[in-house]
Amino acid sequence: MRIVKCELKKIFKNRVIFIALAVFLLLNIINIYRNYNIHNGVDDCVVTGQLYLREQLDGELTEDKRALIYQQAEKVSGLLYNKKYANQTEPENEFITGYAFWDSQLWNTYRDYIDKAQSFNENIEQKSAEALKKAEYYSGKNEYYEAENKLYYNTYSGRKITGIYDTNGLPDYFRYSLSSVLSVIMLLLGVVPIFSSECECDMDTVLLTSKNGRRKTAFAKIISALIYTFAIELVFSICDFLSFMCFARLDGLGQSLYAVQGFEMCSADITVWQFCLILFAMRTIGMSVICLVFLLLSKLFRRSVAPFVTGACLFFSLMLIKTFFTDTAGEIINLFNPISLLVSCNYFCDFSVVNLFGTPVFSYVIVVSVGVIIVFILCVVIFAMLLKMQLRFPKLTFRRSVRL
Amino acid sequence: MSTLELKSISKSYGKKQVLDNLNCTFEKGVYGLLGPNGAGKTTLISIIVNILNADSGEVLFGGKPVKVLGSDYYDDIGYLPQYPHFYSNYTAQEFLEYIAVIKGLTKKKAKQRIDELFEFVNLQDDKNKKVGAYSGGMRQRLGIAQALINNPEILILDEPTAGLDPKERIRFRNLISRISEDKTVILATHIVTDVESIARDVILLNKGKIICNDTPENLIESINGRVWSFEIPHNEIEDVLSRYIVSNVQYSGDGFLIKTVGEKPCKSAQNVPATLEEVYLCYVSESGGEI
Repeated sequence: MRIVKCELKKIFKNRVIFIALAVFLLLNIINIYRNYNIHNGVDDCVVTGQLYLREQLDGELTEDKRALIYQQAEKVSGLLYNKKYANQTEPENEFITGYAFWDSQLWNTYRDYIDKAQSFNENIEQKSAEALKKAEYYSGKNEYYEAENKLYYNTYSGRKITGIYDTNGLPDYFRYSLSSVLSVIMLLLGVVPIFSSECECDMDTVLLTSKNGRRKTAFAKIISALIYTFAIELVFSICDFLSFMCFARLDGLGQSLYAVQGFEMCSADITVWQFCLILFAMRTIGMSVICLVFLLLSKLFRRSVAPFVTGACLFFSLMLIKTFFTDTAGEIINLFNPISLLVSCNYFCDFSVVNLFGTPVFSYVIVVSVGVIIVFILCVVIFAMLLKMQLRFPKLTFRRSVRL
Repeated sequence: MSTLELKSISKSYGKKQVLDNLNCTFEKGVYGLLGPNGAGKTTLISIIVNILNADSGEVLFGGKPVKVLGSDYYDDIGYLPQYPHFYSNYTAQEFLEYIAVIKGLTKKKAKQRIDELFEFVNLQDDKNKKVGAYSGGMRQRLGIAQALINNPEILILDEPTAGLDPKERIRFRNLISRISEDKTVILATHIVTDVESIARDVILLNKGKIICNDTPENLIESINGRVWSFEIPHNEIEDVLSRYIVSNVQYSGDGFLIKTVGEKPCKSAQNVPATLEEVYLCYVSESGGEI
């Protein structure tokens, strides 16, 4: 444990880490403020009205609420036909926002929520029933299709949206990815020097001739790199969450994820809160894979510049693969791509399954499992490399030409 | 005090034989490992400290092979590598605390030992300075402190005085002398004066072989009568430098005062007392090394 602490201290001794972290957090906050601010492009009165309605209406959908929303939506929409309100220039107290037009927009939004919830409840039952029929049809004909349809039925049957929430900000929050890019840069800064800097300052031989300088230090370096990764991911996740809460005024964290626009066909029956934690866990696994790849590069080179450049190139290559490889083969390749774990919310948008030896398995389960397996394999490879490479040629003779 | 023994150590890189059947025993005191660049000193040291495998032969410590001793062996060795920079953003205190952890010292023992060592290497007033702000000599003294932190029986120093100014080199030499009272110190260098006054034995290495291993006095004695001094006019200097093993050229008004090692170069040459530097030149040149 003392060695892990020392290795962590070594990472955080680098002042660049703190400067970069401060700059990146600021950049991240500014980006969220500029692009996801609830006040963007709308008058303050509309935001005030929106927040007021949230307070009054968000939650379990009761008959009283339903009646009120329909009634108000119709009433205010009707007023817009009145010349007085069609070209209203001065606010009036009888409206929440002060204006009939904006009130109509807000009430209609809530009416849409109710309509969507209602149509969801009807459609999902219908689709589930169809899946069950298909499962029966394929029974004895095609085992995989049968299993897939049963899984569909088991996943979606019984779902019901019983509450209404203003969920407009949530998809933006789930899909927000700038912080992942910034986190990867932080990993480059913190992880790449872990091994290469030992060679740069001639400490590698000192470590190798010390009692705890071999296995224990190698293990401590891997652990400290993973702790650093977790810390960075945690800081950026908290920053994202608080910034979105503050600027985009996220709401409805306690409701089911399938009630959020775009996630109606979500394959996991979880709440928004749980989904936030799952996204965090998946990003952490993805970051851990990237961290260990950087650590491997750090071990392969004697100078920090080479693994830094190679790591950056590799990261951008993986991003391009994730972005442009969208066909079936590409999707399979991307199951092994750690970037998939950084932008994993798409795996939850629909019924996305993979045929794994005849069994339908949700894509997100595969992606997470592959990520965990890659983390484990990389840990073992790095550890084995460290132990094997400890017997080296002398530095003077082969300093630049041979890397062992 | 356990002895360190090298038994038939051989090592080659590809077709190049770097060490050829080396046998040697180290006991208490300073051992100067001398040899030209590429003689195999660093390879030998890497094998002794167990970061490189020999092709054949073994290193024994206290009669046991170091491979068998495993990590326990590192309790008894301290190593200062060539040109160490250490962690420039650490203070010396932080650096030694880290080394103490790496070498498995308890917190209490580490604190006591670090204080002792700062005093020993005379860095107590600079212990809170960043290592990056240290001069070469201070960094080498810090290097000695890190090597000694586990109070090892064997201290191995690889070219420790390279790049140091004369004052720091003398200071460093005195430090090593004090350490050698109860330890084995193996000092690899190609600077003869580093070991001349402090080494108990000098091991001369060239082309992977030990060409001599004896006390400095005996080595000097062995070439007495083969060191010559004579004067030459200015125009003969090039000829003399190419024909003889010249250990010194001193400008004098009419020409040069030359010191050579080997056969008597001319009738006017006078026999003069030898130094260890001339021993080095003589043996390395006889073993086919480039001077």
